[in-house]
Amino acid sequence: MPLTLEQLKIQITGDLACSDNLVSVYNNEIMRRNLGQKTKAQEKFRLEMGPYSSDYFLPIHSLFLFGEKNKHLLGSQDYFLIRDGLYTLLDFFHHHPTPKDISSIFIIHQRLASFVPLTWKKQVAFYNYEIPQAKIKDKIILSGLLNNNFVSLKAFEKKLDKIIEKYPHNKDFMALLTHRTDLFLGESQTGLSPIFDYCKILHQKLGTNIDFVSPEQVENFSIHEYSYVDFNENLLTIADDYMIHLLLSKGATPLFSHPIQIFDDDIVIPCSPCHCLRLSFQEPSWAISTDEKISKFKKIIGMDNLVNENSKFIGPSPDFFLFCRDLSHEILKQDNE
Amino acid sequence: MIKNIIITSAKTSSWVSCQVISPNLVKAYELCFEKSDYAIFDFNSRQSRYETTELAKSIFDLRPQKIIFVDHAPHPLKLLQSLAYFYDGQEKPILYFHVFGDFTLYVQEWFELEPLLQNFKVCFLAASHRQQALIQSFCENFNHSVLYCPFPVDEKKFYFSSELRKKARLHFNIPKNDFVFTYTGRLSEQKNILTMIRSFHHFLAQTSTDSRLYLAGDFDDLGIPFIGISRSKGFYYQLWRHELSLIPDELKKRIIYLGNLQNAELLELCNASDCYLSLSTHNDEDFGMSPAEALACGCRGLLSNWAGYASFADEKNYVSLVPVDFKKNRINLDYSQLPGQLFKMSAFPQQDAISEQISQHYHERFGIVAISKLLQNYHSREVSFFTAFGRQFKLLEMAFSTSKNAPFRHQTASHNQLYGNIYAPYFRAT
Repeated sequence: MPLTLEQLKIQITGDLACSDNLVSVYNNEIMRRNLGQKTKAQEKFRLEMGPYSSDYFLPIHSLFLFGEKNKHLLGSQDYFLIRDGLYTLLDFFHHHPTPKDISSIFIIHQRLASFVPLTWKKQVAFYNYEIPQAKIKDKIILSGLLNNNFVSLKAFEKKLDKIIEKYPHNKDFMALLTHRTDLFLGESQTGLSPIFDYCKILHQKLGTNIDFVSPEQVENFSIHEYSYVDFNENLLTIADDYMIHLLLSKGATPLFSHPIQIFDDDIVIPCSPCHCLRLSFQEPSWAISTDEKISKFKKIIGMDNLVNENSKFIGPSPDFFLFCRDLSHEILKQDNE
Repeated sequence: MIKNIIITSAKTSSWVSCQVISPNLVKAYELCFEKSDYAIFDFNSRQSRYETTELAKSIFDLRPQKIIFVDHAPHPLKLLQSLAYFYDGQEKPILYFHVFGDFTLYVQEWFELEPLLQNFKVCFLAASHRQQALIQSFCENFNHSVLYCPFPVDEKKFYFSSELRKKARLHFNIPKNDFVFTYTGRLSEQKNILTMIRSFHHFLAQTSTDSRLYLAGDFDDLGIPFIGISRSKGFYYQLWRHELSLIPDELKKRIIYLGNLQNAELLELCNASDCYLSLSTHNDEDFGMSPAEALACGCRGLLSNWAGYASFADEKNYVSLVPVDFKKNRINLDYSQLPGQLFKMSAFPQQDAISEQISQHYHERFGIVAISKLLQNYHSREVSFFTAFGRQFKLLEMAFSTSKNAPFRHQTASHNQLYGNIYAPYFRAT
């Protein structure tokens, strides 16, 4: 039997108090590594989406639902923080339309609350990241995985315009950008790499004095004086993104923020000296009135009859992903409003 | 005519201390040589083999007398292989290598380079006396060409000012009589930070002195790679939180974490402080840039008697060392002596005149001007042909060949005896 959300709150509070015990911190690390054992599909996902999908330490257990075939693992803990973005979260809900046989409670990103099927609502809590005393800095890190399906050239250009609008005189930019083909749509790439188009726009908009750095370099850089712009903030692919966690933990702050809904009974867990994880046990206001979207989602799933094991990476048809992308644009639109 | 080529990487090092060290070494060389006598070349890890060959050709075309490597990465192997091709059968330049803490990590590259090096006159410049002893233990009949040359501290960025001290103590809200210990650098398992704050907590509890400890720097989760201990990102911060949770609130407020600071803020903090505290026993502690900068700001030092730190202690007694040894496969810091040493340190009077003296003393030892003079001296000396690496280095190479990810791991997940033997110069007085 899964816990109720009220019981979950008590359980997490107890677990966190216990993690103040040193042995428990180490045990948690060992457990995290065991949970880190991945199926083939997950391993491919981790590699193709790295470093955004990289593992890191949280006081509560976290995992990607994507490619998870082991129901025993999903029931092994009372709760999990779910790192999946919209694509793979919806894919999971599609494969598991009800929580039958799964006793764990899933803590999903608060901005994805609209996409939880009614049948799952009692078994879902929410998380978001909080940055106490977030200050916008003069230097800017441009972070993200560039791919026409995750962030279109048009969206990329628009975001750069927003930066210029906010900071017309800023000249200090660090680009922490990667490019991959879309593992979800499985489009093969021929001809000129789209990365040149991104670079062209980047230089047209921000000039040529941009430092390109790798994720490995940023691990050791001091970035306290930076704010960052996340080009994957539509949460399409990963909701709990290692790179964002890294930037926040090293003192960088988001240039554009999204609404967080705070409740009195939230649990706040420090993740680094600079940022916290906030757990909520109530639905945010934007989770309501999603019936139309969800029913459209179900219709599309029904229409496609879903799984095409061989041709695509995880199964569902390209329409499914395109639909997810449209939904994520709606989230963004909502946030901006 | 260009007589000297300085090789440095234009790409910023991923190690924070090296982001300071190499530019400071270049500044020291700029003072050491006439402007027309030297040129600086960029050799970085992003260069292709072709670009490296082009670089070697450009250097060869100048026919310099000396080539000086002032960066820790990339390893010079590829550049020297290309240079050897152009210099085949011709008189070769003298090679100077400023040695960093990761010298041992590149043991396989050094061995590959060995036959080629034997055709060159070579000088290794170690950053501390104990690193000098370590490198000497790796070279056969070549001890005289391993010299002591500390990394320079920029005296224009790190200095003592009584006005700044007043302002900084006001800024940090430090009561007049409080004695301030400071640690700056990575907050890492490698630096024994948790045991340091535990010891400081016990010291506060036992003595009820008006002391406080400031810590500044980023947390890291590198674990202890030499024995195969790796950690997940964010793990060490949770251990830190646990350690703090054990300290009563009235004492906890005397242990203050400031986050990562920039140079100007570091200068302020070091001026507000009375003593730099670090108990690191990390194998890459070949010099200690953070303590050097703090000493240059007039702080005293209380440091582990380990590796490069030992070179800061001298006849002036501004720096005290906590004993370290290696027994039963563990590096043991003598924590029993620490409360007494902390107490003794905190009893020193806080006088601007003394801070001024300390600052001046360490500028004279480690300032860019001082190091440029030392370099001038070294560059006027004869240098001999490289002979060979010795048995100790071969053992090290075998350890890395056998297990690159945990070359010194003992079955008890601690350090093995080979580590104790190799790094003996780091904990035994020379």
